[in-house]
Amino acid sequence: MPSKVLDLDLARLPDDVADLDAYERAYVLLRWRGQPIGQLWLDVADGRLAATDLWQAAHARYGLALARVTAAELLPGTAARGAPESPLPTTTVAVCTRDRPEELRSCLAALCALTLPANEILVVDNAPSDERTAQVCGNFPVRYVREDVKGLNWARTRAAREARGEIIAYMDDDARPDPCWLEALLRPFRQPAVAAVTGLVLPLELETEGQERFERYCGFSRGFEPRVFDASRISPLAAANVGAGASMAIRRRLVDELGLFRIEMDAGTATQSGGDTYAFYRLLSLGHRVVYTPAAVAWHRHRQSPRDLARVLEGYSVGTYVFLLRCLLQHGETGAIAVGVGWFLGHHVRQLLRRLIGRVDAQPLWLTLAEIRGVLVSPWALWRSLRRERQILHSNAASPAVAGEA
Amino acid sequence: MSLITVVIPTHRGASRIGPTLASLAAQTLPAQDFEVVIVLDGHDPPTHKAITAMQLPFVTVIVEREHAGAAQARNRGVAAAGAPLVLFLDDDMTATPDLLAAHLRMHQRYPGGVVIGCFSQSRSSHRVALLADGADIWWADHFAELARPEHRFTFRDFCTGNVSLPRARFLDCGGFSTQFKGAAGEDYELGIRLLRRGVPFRFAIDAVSVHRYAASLPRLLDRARAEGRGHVIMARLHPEVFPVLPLRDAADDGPVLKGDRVLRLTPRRLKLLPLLLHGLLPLARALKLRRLLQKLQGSLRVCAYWEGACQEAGSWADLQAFVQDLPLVAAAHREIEFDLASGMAVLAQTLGATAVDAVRLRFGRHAVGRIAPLAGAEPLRVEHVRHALAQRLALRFLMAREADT
Repeated sequence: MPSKVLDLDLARLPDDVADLDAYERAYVLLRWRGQPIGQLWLDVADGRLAATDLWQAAHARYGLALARVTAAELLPGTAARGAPESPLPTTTVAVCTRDRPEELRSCLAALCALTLPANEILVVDNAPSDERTAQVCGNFPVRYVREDVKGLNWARTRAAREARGEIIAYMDDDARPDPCWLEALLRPFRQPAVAAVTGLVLPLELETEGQERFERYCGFSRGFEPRVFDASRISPLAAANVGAGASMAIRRRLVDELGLFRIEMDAGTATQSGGDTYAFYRLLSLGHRVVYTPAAVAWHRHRQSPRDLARVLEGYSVGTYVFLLRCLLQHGETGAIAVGVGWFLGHHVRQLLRRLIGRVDAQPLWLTLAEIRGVLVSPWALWRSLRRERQILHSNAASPAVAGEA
Repeated sequence: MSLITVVIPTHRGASRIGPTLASLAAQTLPAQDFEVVIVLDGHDPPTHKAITAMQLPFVTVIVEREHAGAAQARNRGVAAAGAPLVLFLDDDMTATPDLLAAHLRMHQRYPGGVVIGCFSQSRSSHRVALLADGADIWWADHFAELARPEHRFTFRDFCTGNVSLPRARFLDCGGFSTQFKGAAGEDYELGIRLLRRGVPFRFAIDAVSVHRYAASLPRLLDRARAEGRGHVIMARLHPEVFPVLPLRDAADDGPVLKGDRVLRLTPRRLKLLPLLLHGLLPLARALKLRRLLQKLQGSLRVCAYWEGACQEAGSWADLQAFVQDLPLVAAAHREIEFDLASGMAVLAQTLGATAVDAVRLRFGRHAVGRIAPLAGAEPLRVEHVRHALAQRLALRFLMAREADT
């Protein structure tokens, strides 16, 4: 049962939303004059969504937030007393892609329509099997770089080295930014203490069961309140809560300085994911500050088929446990043991038990088993990945990703 | 004539002063527009030599005969300053190239006030520290708060690390108090007097310096001890700020240590607890147990603070006796009532004309809420009221408004 994804502004709400015959439910992003304030799951009746229902649901769930924005509008603002807003730092938006020309095309189209255009858009074509990506890039005002060593983190590092902006903002090729995405993502960088900013990532569509399940079990959304993360507020080992690599911006010099993107991690290697989590871990554990801002919205196209979903979830499991292993082995984080065991018991075993006692809302067995498989193979994945890293480094004497590692 | 004088006190700072001066030599502001006065706090030939070796034409060096503390040194520096504005910088601060220009821009835009700059911690010191000690996070939070338009400035926003003001205002107030020898807080204390005289504070987020400070636990604890002492002195001089000092905890049933459980601190515990906490530190460090480490360090700092406070007061009993007579809540010198139906423009006018520290808000006949006084804070501005109405009082404001119309 597919759900319709709707992006509605309560300040400019249409009467009723019609033509929803193909859908049973709707996933609504609620905004007030462009600012996201919350999300709702609503039932679609007779192919329509009544405006009154929407209002009611919005008020029941986000009443206080709505009262605040309404009150703020009734009170005319006063001229800013401080310094005039300092200019935003220069930015490179980097899209690391591999053999997904059609996805990339819509991503680039959205990037070219930003309210605050990036100083440059950089496409890193990672170990492509043909020329299609290069051809797509020819149609847009972007800089195309080809990186032949396969691996998302390798491509991210390459992007940071090629980029000229003070800030590097990463966007997944299967995601589409809102027009004001970049502006919102850059605003927190006005404060010198902020090292990285992550944004809100929402589903672009929920047309298949696979996509719905993805959003339910491992959606990227981190809520609608801006948050500040640093080592005093969150354990660096819980870095996954900070945001998603699909939409993040980092002060560019830190990428090399701290070796944020370890080349043996994330997509394109045996570890499959976790590169972004490790980068956030590095930042937090070295005392840096990361800000999550829901005002920066990007829409991610989740994998459609259930098989893909199982593979992705397994990959996330591998990545998570590789990340924890690394923290334990390389950085002496004994807390990683507790986190790993805790997550295994609190999530995997719990989901398994819930399914066995027949809870309806429990995660399907095949997904849980895929995740557990991921946990079990993670040591092997780390070992394979490290071996590959050594080979690559051997052939490329001066490696980009390890330069900053102490 | 120069526009701004940078005053830097230094005590045995031969190893620190070099990068600071080098960063001042690389300012976007032309060198003829500013001067630097370095006050050597005590006879100190190595530092003097290090400075003269750099051969910077805009630098003047003043030598104090005796080590008398940073407050005295800064007062001497201002006395020797030739420019109408003074900027206080520490000897371990690297100025970003635009620092002086940013301070000047703000003073040109809003003459007559204090301009607070912001600083970040240098990262190299950080990697050594490995585990965030909390101080740099505290500063980052502090500056994020100052940057908010609705921030209500208090005396605690006046820190001498990177702050500028008109020389005349400084001299009117009598400069830094020299009673704080061996204690911290002379900057806060001057902040109290400046705000009382109606000097407005402003924050310049683009006036950035970098603090080259190698945090270490002993230094943090020394600092906490000095703060404890300083707060007792401050409460003696200005009892009205007592409600917002951590010292206030002593007025209830005595200070406490907040962990998973609340532990009341007694003189005996204050002696024994640090020994125990220090003993646990190596374990927490070796296993990288951050939470535990943070708690241990936090608790040690609290203990050090109270230790300092007791030292200054004389004894635990003296401290208890001292705080008995101090006020527990902030007093409102001038509280007004305002009808929001007459509009925010009228409120802005009212608040602009007189210094108000608390306001009771209503809409027509319906009460909305109160904005309470804050000890040692600037007078209320319309931004403060607006923010409270749009956040804390939003529902009550809308309901009162609805009921009235």
